[in-house]
Amino acid sequence: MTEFDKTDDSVVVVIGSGAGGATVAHELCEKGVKVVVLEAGPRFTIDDFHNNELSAYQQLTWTDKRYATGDWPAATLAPEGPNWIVKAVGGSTVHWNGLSFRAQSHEFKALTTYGEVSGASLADWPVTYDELDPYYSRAEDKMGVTGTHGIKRHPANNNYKVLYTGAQRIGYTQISNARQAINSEFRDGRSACIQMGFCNQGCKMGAKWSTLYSEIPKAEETGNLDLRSGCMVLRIEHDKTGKASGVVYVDANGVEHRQSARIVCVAGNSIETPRLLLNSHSSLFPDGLANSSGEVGRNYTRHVGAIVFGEFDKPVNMHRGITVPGTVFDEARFDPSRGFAGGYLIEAVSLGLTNLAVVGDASGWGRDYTSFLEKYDHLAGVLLNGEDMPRSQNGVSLHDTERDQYGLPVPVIHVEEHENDNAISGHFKGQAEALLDAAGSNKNHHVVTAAATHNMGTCRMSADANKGVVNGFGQTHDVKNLFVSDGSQFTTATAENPTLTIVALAIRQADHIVARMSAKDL
Amino acid sequence: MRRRSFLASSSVLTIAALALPIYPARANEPFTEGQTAVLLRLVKDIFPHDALSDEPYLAVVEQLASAAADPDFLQLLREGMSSLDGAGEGDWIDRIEADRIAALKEMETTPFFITVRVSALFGLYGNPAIWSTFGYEGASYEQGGYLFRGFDDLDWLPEPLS
Ligand SMILES: Cc1cc2nc3c(=O)[nH]c(=O)nc-3n(C[C@H](O)[C@H](O)[C@H](O)COP(=O)(O)OP(=O)(O)OC[C@H]3O[C@@H](n4cnc5c(N)ncnc54)[C@H](O)[C@@H]3O)c2cc1C
Ligand code: SF4
Repeated sequence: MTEFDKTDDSVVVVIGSGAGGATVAHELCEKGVKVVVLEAGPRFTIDDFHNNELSAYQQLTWTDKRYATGDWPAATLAPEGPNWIVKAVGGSTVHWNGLSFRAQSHEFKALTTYGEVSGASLADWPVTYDELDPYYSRAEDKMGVTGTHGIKRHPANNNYKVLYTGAQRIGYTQISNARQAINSEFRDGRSACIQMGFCNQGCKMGAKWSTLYSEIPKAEETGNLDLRSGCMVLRIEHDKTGKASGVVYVDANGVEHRQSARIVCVAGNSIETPRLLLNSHSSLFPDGLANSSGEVGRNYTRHVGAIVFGEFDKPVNMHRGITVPGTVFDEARFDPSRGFAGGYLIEAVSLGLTNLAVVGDASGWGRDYTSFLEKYDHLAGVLLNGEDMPRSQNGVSLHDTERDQYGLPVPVIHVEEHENDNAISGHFKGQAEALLDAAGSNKNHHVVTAAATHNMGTCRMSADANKGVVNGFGQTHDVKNLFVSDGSQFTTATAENPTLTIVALAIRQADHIVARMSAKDL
Repeated sequence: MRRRSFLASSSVLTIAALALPIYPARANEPFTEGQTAVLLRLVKDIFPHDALSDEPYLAVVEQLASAAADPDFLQLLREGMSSLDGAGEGDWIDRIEADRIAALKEMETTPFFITVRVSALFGLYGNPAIWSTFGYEGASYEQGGYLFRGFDDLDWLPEPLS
């Protein structure tokens, strides 16, 4: 295994090994750049994963203290666990579902397209769809997205059949089970999916793309990667001129180290990334590193979510096979006549019995509730993924007094929902009921989703240095050799699941870094 | 109370971190026979499934008894059980189902009720022994997933044109 010296200031330090971090690291390594990845969580192999919802959750999840405030469901239902993120090598790509959609061209121009929305901080991205197009294609190839690059789609599973027929019967036409970063056939050294149904628990086949067993081993093969797991970065340091010079981290044994760096890329997901920048304040950067705009931690988005389950006469067995097996795109369009800006996706979803019992109704008990659970194998679920409005007051700040096990101020995640968010979920609920009824549902059961699985926007991109934290390449406006490489960069949420865009941006960022390094500009 | 505030936030995503706890070995029985019977009745009334035997419910009671090694927890349960009897005629456990449920309804936001509900939630639905009663098949890796075991056996709707 490659090891670089801690005083080696020619390395790029990447913080976090999830979708963004491991991708940027791998791309840099392939181009001959020396990279140190610091990952707070442990390194598992696919044999370590559990086909069990509770034990897998305990094994993988970031459970360090966090607080939720505001009026979003997490503030009451998950006040100490508002974001569902993995703390392990591979980050949240260990438990993600693999849905890999491109954001739409108009969504990159949210402000121009939707116009000013009162109470929202909409803005246009400083990068266009056309600029991202080739990187989307490279990301799809890298991740093995079905329906692209000649990769065949999966056969329809039971849950998808319900979504498909229901959607068709209510007039939807854009229904698909493609665009999954899950192998339908052996590809790129990874097995084919066996329809195991534990995508959120870590795929024991390695069929679903995860940086844990794709980007990271490939980067290691180049000899240019030094991956240090169990290493939590506490702060980023800078030199007298204000350039990032290294990071201070604590290893699994509690020992503190300092790693020098030529460039630092932060990819801790959208809670930890702004938290780290805020914690890295200094006399030169009193409000936090790269925060002269005051935008670090603001404009947090997490997608509007909800689930509706239908009860059917005949068995569905939704748990058999891919967890999120297909999607309806008809409502993703821009169409203000529906009464809201932005759009949404309707995705088929299954839960195991344990998770269904726990989230089905956060305070449910008694025969009403248990008779719903008894229908388990006759249930089919549909999930909302809608564009939520960015708001300046929504985001991540540091707790005044409480400290975590590393002695760092605990992050507080505050969300005040915008009326547009509620309009989207209201519209979805009506459509989801109609869809399930059309497929034969006797009774529909509404589930509030509390913890955010998609976390975005807390270090937003902006062409204007006063209005955002990073430029179109994820480079911070204030600190030239400091980059943000994860979903924190998103200017707005878009209706699509974020990871393909995170990976495309990370590939593009790596190209940019290499070009700037060659030009001796970094 | 530390435990109370944790349990009051009854979401999987906070609570699952507490599930499957490793309880300390018990030195002695924290509950009388009568109290054990009340706890059993209570978890059955909270999550009634006529198709289940007492066994998985008793497993939950056993977990509560183990957790009662913590004196705060023990006190919470003991006080909660005596308040059950307080609301209404006669001992709570001897009343008919509708009356027992009405009494529970009155106390559903108390730390006692929430604590028992959340413990039962994980203890019961996290117990693989009950899953087949619901048609949930649990771990599938060892059986090769569902690729050859019915991932697409739903035959009462038309096949999607992919
Ligand atoms: C259940 C679930 C299903 C999902 N399904 C989909 C899907 O189908 N499609 C989709 O597009 N998205 C999906 N997502 C979202 C997707 O997982 C994330 O968008 C994506 O992984 C985010 O990438 P990231 O690089 O920002 O962060 P992550 O992948 O979360 O990686 C961040 C890493 O940084 C580490 N870290 C944080 N702080 C520090 C620090 N200070 N020092 C060292 N290391 C640190 C963390 O431990 C973690 O490993 C899903 C999420 C969940 C929870
Ligand atoms: S359904 Fe497929 S992708 Fe999901 S865990 Fe199973 S093998 Fe992996």
